[in-house]
Amino acid sequence: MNREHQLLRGTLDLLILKSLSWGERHGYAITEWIEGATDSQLEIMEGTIYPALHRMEGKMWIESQWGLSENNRRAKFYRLTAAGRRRLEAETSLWERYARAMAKALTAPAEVGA
Amino acid sequence: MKRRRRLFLDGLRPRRRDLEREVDEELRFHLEKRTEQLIASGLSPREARQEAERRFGARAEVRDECVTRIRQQEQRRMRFQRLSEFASDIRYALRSLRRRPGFTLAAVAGLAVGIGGSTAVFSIFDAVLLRSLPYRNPEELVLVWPERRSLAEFEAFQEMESFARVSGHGPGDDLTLTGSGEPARLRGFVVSTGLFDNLGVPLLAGRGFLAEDAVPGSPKVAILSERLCRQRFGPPARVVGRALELDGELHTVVGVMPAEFRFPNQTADLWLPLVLDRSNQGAYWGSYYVTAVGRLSAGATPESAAAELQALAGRLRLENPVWTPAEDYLDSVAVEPLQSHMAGELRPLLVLLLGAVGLVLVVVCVNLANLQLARSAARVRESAVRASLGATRGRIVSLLLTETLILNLLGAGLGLLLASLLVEVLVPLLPGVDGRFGQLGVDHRVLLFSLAVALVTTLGVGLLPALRLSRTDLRTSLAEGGRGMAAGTGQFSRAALVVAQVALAVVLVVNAGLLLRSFWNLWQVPTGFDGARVLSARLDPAESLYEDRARRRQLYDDLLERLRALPGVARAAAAHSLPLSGVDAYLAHRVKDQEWESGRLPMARQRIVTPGYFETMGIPLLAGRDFDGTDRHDGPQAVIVNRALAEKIWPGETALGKSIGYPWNSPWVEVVGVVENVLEGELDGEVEPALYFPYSQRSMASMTVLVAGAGLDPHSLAPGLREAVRQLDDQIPVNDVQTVAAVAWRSIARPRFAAALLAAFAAVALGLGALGIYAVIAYLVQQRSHEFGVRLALGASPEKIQRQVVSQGLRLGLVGLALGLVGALAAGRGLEHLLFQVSPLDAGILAGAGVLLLAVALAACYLPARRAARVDPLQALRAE
Repeated sequence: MNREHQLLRGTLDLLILKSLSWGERHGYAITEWIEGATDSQLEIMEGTIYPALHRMEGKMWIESQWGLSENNRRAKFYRLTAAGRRRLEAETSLWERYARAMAKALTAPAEVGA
Repeated sequence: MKRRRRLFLDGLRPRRRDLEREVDEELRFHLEKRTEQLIASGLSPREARQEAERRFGARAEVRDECVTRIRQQEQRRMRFQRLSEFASDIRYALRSLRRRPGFTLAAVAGLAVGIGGSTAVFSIFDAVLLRSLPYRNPEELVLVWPERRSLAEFEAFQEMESFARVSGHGPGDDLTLTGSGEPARLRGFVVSTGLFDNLGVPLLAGRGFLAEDAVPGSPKVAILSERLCRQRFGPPARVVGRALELDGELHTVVGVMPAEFRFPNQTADLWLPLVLDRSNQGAYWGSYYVTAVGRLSAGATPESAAAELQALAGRLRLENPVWTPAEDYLDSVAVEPLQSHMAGELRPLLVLLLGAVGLVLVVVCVNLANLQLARSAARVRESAVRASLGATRGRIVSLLLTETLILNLLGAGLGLLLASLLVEVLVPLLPGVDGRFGQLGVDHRVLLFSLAVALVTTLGVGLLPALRLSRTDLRTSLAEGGRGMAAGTGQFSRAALVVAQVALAVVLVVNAGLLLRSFWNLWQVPTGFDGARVLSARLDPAESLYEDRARRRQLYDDLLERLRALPGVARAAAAHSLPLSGVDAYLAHRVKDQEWESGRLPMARQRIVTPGYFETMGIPLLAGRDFDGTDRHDGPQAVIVNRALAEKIWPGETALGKSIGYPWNSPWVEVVGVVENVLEGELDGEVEPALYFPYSQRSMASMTVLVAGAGLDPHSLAPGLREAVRQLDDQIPVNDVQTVAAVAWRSIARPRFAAALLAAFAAVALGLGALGIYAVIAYLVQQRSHEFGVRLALGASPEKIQRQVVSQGLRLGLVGLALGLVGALAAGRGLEHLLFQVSPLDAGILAGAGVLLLAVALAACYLPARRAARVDPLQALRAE
């Protein structure tokens, strides 16, 4: 696993939660959304989302149900629970603060005001 | 409603295999979707599949990780679910119990009686037989047999190698406390200086006895029990050093023993030092009153101690300067662990009680199982619905067991309350069980016992009905609307339970009958005296005030004179102690003109009596004369013997004019009369040789006075008696005012207790047995009321139907009776040594139990049978 994937692991949960914030999706649709939303910049191994999904289900952030896909095939659909929605909000604001701080730091001049 | 449905849909939960298949399916779906998408974007199917696999990553790893995660999750969920299932089972069970308050109350009450009774008996059993005595390393303590030793022997024991320590204590003595408020009678025990150390119980305050306290003539000291201390004087620390007037003599309190220390029994109020007086060699060697308790030294065993003791006793017997100990002396020398000595006589009684109360508990359980089965008939449909909704057998069983468990725990809780009450009531009634065995009552061991009983009874009571229900056949019970089921298979188990119940009740009834019979036999034993008309009262004047023999003689002479003058009193006399009172005094004696082997002198009971004693007690004088005024204290010594002694010592001769003597060198005593034998010791004992000495020549301060009325209630003489004593000396305590018959009555307290308790147990079991028969027959009648209605409509006579129902109940009773009699015969064998003049095979009692049982069975069938005969044919048919 390369460094990019390491980085990704911490944020994969957040991306999955975000992908479910508009309603239920199956695993494949989640990977499609992540690919589209990140312009395929993150190069996730698609398989890795499944252990993550099951882990998050264990934490009761998401719940699953078997249903029918667009073309009438059996597929497992995931959706956010109330706890998952709260988690998404908390993680989002945390990420934004982190990203802002990093962006600011990486563009900062040599001397910063005390 | 919703909650309950979810509970019984648990059967639909996916199994482990399904989990793996689900994961595979999910991953396959992903890969197929991706492949489709790639084909659509222009790749060949083969390239698309490869690309999809590449993008997906290590598929096997992902699969395994998913499966593991789901499994962990599943386990957590299961644990949680089991807990919540249990919680909802409890809620459901509570609701269902609340809906049937009658059943719940009956069940809990029955269990409370069963568990409470067995817990109470167990707590006594535990304290007396299982737990060790409340002393330091109690297993090292042994009692030296015979139980009463002379001071000389006691001092010789101190040198024994087998014993690290030896302590001694005397029999209890009543002392009068004066000078600090109301005079009181206290129970004191003389103990050797090392006794508290030997037992290993530290004092609460002050000091133990010192060597100088045992020296004759040293200042009098006493150690008080904490109970007495707090009742009369205040905090122990402040009582030490205080002076008390006991029997008119000042004693200094030097110490206080904690309340838990009740040695040698719980009557002890205070302890006095055992004074080692060697000046009177006669008393030193010949007076037997010290009970020796040794602590085995390291490496010594009871056997080695006994061997050493035998050798020592053989030597002491020859060294004895005063007399040579008598009959069987050496044979009886032995040691016995203190624990088994204290519990010894109680063991058979307690084992019997525990067995009996256990049987009652089983009867209670069988009864409850029967009630549950009856209810389960009504629940067949409910369970069938549950099973059809997917509930597993285990779930149905556990739901039903939860209900039984709740009943049992409630029963155990109430039972514990009942047990602590019962212990309070039973212990005083059970002679010989008291505080020396440590705290009696409900403690953590007893608590654990009753919990264990509750769990065992839960399984015993609940499993059969629960298993039966869970085996319910869905289709038939749903189709029959839940009515037909119970009449078939359920009826057999219920009948079997009733038979078991009846059989157990029979065992208890027979045993209770045997004990009652045995007790009755004891009470009917001819004692040789007429105690019902005689009122007795013990006078305990302070020894110090009546040290002077002349003064004592004067006191009792005057008193008897006054008593004889009282209206309603026909005769009056006094004796040092009464027959069957448990006060025993034996005397080894020489016989003039006869050579008895040294060490084999004849033994006889001795009592000291006043003139008129035999007449007052209704004991016939066979030859010679009663004591009278001519037996002066300074005149020739006289004795009256009983027939047994006369026949043993002078067979074929007249005893009159012969002489006996004390073992040591003393003047001969002439036999002036022979009286008929009386039972002096125990009602189930033998007549023994007895010597009666005249009070005028052997005066004692404390005597029991006897007054015989002329036909009226002897208790009406009590006020006159008290007044007569008061007029002579108002400082003399008058105690134990009771008829002589009451003394004998008290001597059989233990068999009476056993018989009464067993009778109570048997009554409970019999009642439950009747209830069981009634329930089964009543249910049967209800089930068949349709049939009865039809038959009545077709012209069957009500009597015939009634007879049929009764005969069905009787059949249950008879089978139970037969089994019960077999059980009773087996149990009776264990009872044999508790029985007096009655065989465990006593035909009368076995027949009586049978008749009683059949009568009860008939009574139990009566109501249902009447109902059967009165079924209204129209109504029965319409109900269909």
